[in-house]
Amino acid sequence: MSLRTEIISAAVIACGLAGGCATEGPPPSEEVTRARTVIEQADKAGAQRYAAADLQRAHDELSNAEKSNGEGKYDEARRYAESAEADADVATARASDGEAQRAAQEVAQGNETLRQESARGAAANANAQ
Amino acid sequence: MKQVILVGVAASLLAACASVPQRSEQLDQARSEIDTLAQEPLAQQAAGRDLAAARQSLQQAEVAQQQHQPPGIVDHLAYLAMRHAQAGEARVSEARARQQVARAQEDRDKILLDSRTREAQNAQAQAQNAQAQAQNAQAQAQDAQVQAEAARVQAEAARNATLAAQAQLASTQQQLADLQAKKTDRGMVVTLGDVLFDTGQSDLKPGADLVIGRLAAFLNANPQTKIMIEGHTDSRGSDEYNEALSERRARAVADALSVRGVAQDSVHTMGRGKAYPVASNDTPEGRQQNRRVEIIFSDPAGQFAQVSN
Repeated sequence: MSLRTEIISAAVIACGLAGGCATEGPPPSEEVTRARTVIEQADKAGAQRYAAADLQRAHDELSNAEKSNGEGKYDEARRYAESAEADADVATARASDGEAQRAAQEVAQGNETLRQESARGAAANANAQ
Repeated sequence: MKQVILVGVAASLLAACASVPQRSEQLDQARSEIDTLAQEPLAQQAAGRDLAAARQSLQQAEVAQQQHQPPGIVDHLAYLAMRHAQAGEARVSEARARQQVARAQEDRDKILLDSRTREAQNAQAQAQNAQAQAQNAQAQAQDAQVQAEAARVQAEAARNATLAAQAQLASTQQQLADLQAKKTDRGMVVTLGDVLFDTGQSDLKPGADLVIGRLAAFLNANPQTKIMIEGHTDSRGSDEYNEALSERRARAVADALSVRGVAQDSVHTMGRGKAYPVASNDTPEGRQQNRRVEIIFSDPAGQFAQVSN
């Protein structure tokens, strides 16, 4: 074993211990697919209207994942895909929340209108008598 | 020697990774978001999976930090933890909104029910009001009808009374006219001429029956009316004789009326003698006019006109 070989071996061991320099895993095709699915859900939930920034971020992360994948940087691609999925999930949840808030506001306004009409009706009746 | 080099190189490489773990702002932010979510009462119910996923990612991030993995790895895991927590917060918020919608729909039902209840009450009150007004109007109409009927009866009675009074007046006037009554200061006066008596006599001749009958009929029809019967003579003979004669003649008329049913207290008699001539006593015609009986009528109330003689 030459010195050069030993140095490389030590570097590999050290990297293995440290974890941060772990060897590249397989391409994150599953993670990318999941990210795409969740982004579609977010679109359907109306994220464009209620959580445009989150949705855009998810799209950007997905693009980054695909780019890294193409460059063989699979771990980076996996992290991008995971982020894209998390961002799309936030966008979906915020879109549903936005819809629910809007519904609550509409119902509350409807009730207010109803109350006013009812009060007017009562006043009109009181006047009529 | 080789071993020393190997260990030295590995240690130096490790040292690069094993510096004191850097404080990660991303990790702090993730912890903060997870705390916020965990404090939501609805967190377990509405975002249990998000909270669990966030805690798992946070734990992975903390392990990675303890294992001195690159800040990029720690931050990435912390970012995932933060996003899971943020998704959970959005789902908690959504659940609160849905609860608000449910409560608002209950409110809506209650408002509608109250409104309809009040409308029904108002309609009932209006109906009662209208019924009361209708009853009131009916009562007023009945009152008006009764008043109109009473007024009609009063008018009828007044008209009848007027007609009766007019008829009475006409009858009285006709009867007095039949008696050839004259209107004087002393009231209505009927003069019975000398022809009804023989000279020096006080008996009524049969020719007096017609006028006595009319007098009696009038007095019987007008019981309030009183009469004063005055006898008068001409100037022949003494005053005593004439007064006695005139008195007897007046009484003869009164008696004749009494026989025909006239009440005694309606009739007064007086002998005036020759004191009140109506013509000259120097001629036979004048003396005949002075021999007479005058019948003075009171007003319908029984009062004689007040005249100073």
